[in-house]
Amino acid sequence: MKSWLVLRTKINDSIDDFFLSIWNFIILFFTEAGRIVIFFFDSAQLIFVKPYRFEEFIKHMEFIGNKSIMIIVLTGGFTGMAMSYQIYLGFNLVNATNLVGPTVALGITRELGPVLTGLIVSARAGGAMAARLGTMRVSEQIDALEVMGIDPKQFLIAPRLLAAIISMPLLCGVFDFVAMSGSYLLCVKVLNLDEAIFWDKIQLWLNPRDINEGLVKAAVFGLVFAAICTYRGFNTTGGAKGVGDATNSGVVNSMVLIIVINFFMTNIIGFYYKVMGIK
Amino acid sequence: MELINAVEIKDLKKSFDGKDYVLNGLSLTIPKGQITTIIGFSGTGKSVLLKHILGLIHPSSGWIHVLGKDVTTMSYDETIDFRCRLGVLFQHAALFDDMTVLENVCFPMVEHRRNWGISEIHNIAAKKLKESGMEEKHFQKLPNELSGGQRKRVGLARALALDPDIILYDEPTTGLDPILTEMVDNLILSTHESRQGSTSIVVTHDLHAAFRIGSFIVMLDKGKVLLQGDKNTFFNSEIPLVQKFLAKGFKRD
Repeated sequence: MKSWLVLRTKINDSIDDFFLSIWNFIILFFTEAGRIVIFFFDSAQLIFVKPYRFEEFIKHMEFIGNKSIMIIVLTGGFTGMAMSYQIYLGFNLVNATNLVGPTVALGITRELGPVLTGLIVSARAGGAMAARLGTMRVSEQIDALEVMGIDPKQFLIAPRLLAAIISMPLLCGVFDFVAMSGSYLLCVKVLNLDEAIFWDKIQLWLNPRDINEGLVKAAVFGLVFAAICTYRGFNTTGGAKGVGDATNSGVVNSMVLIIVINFFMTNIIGFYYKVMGIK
Repeated sequence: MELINAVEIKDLKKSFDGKDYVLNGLSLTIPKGQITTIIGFSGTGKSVLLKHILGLIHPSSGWIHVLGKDVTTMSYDETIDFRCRLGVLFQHAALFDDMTVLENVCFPMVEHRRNWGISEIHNIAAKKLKESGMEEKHFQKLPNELSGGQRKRVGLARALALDPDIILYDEPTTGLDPILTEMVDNLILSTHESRQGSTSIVVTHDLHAAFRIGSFIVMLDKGKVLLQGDKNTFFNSEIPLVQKFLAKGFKRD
């Protein structure tokens, strides 16, 4: 009897701990999310405050945008081809290979383009941002800026945020273009689908609105990864381990959030079209 | 009216968690035009005090006047002007690692002396670097290509770039070998001597350095000032903790 009571207490405690840990996670999640939002607005408003950091902005555009092009071209091209091949295999079963082009085009421009661009750039540039800012924090370079009378958020964060928000739609455009080129090469040159039908069906089914939807998503993903990674890097504590942790959590949080936000944005945009009567 | 004291602090309290006080009612006056060294065991609040003087941290209670201005109630613009009057040499120099030596020293001037021409800024930066003992051949190097002593020299040149009224040194000799330590001490002394009327505040663990370069010495303990005065005040003190600190510090060396 006594052993049963002990066991029951242990089970109750375990259940309590389980729900408590979930509750703590929720509290922590919203606390951190709130801090990141405040950090973002604090920094973003400094974009419009003098002295304007144009030189820093160009530097980060070059780093986030230009240096990501190669990796975007590679992943875009192969994604377009792989996706086309899988869709071709499925559609071939029901003799609907005419629709491979528009299906790939819609999938790429509305979903895969922005999401994959977001994931790739957040891993490459977001990780580098968090590591760079983290190193600056632990080596007192951010403190040095502050004691020189320079606002570190204006000098370090604001240009990175702006550069990420502007670079991402441009990179997404490159991804879309290269992915569709890959799809064309595979469908027309390898699988011998009719070239005229391929382009005609894409023109018929793909609306410029679909491309815009993807570009808007990409800009939002740029904002998300830049805000999270700069926040993590800027608030790094604890030396080299802290820099590693900041980089890791910055990249992981950005990637997860990009995928989650993509789902909600797809639905919100769909709802908006419905309300506005856009078909 | 001319200021006699560079820094005046009264009943300064600071707690980061609302329970334990790192600074616990600290009152202190740092005279103008002298080298003041702040010593004390680890965890007594030396670095936190330095950050309060710089306005990087706000106190839980009490007030801090630096160069006659209340640091705690300054507006954003006032803070920027105020910080231009301070120069800081950090423990590890804190040089910007993506800038060359010359660019590091030019940086504060580029930011705050926007009406100056770039060649004028370069000339001043080169002069400051030479005064700190840097040779011209190192000017285009990146900080990671420099030795520990050279980094300190560049850090000092950058701290002096805007001709500050107060120069603060945060543990300038921690982690350096005895020869470099002596070099940094001499650099602090020569910098102070060459800048008539400027005030230097040095936070250090190194007792030899504290007594060699400091004309006014402050010892902290448990977030309060335990003793302040000149060297003789310390050597004649009968406070057990001061005697223990002096005995340990000089014995170890």
